[in-house]
Amino acid sequence: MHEFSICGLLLKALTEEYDAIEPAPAGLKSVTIVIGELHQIVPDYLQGAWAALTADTDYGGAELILEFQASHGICPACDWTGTISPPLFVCPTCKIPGVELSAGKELFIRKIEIKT
Amino acid sequence: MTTKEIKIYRDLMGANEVWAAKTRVLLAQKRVLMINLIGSPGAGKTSLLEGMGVQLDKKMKFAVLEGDVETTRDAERIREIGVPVSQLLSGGACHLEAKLVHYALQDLDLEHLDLVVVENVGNMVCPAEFDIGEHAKIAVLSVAEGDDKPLKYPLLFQQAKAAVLSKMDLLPYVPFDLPACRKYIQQVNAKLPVFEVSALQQEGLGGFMRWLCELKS
Repeated sequence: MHEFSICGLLLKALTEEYDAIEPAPAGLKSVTIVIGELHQIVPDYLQGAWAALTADTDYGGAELILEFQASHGICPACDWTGTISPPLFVCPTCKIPGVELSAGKELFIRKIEIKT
Repeated sequence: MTTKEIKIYRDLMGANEVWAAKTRVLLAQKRVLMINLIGSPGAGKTSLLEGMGVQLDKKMKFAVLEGDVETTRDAERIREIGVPVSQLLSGGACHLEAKLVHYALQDLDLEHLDLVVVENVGNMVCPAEFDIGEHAKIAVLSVAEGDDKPLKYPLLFQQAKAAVLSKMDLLPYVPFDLPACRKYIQQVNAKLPVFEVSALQQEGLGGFMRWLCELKS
């Protein structure tokens, strides 16, 4: 249940961005975050944490939109690049383990939609 | 009502990262290595620390930050072997975060330490998500567990700088496929060094200790 902690960190980051907007928005409509495939985040738990932590706040009723980033890798042995399927980091071309991750660990706010 | 879209691209874990970065600065100033032991409840993390206490004290001065949901029982075990220890109670949280660890570090006599070992809350999922400012996460997996755990918890084994296979003295009595486990670890993280350890029998600790000393230097 680390989704509550992650949601708390999301709210801190979001608030810093939101409070810096001029002129002050009339409200928040949505926030979109990107989650890399390797993160073990349960979407329903994160949505539940969002609903609980934003209730009765300025963000109450705003939508949390989750976008998932697939894992991509580079094989240091044969230079293959492409989508990989965790948990296996084995090159599909040369079959050698050790594919280096180039995408899949993301966890960031991509955009917000404000009411004006 | 009209709406307006604003692109942000901001790291979501930033508030935790601020404290992790402060910890890295503090550790660099004091020249102290910090590792973060992560494994399921009962994996043998505290026993590993007890084993390290017996062997490591001659080579490196170390202290322990003991993370648990409740009780000070593990910290008492560590104190009994003469190693400085602070208990961090997460109060129900499934992991330690950087801010708590940073404050706990300030209570240690870092001037006279070489190594701080953080024993995270027993859990293979949540602690892997959080940077606490450590130099290395260490995955601890006992042979009394499933040999396929590296595949089930890939983030931990991807993030780790080393893996300890603990309770090796139980291997003759449990259906743990050691070669398969090593293969799974390599498939998830080909560069991960693996140390086979029995803390109770004081076997296999030397290799892990040498690796820690190399990491420190």
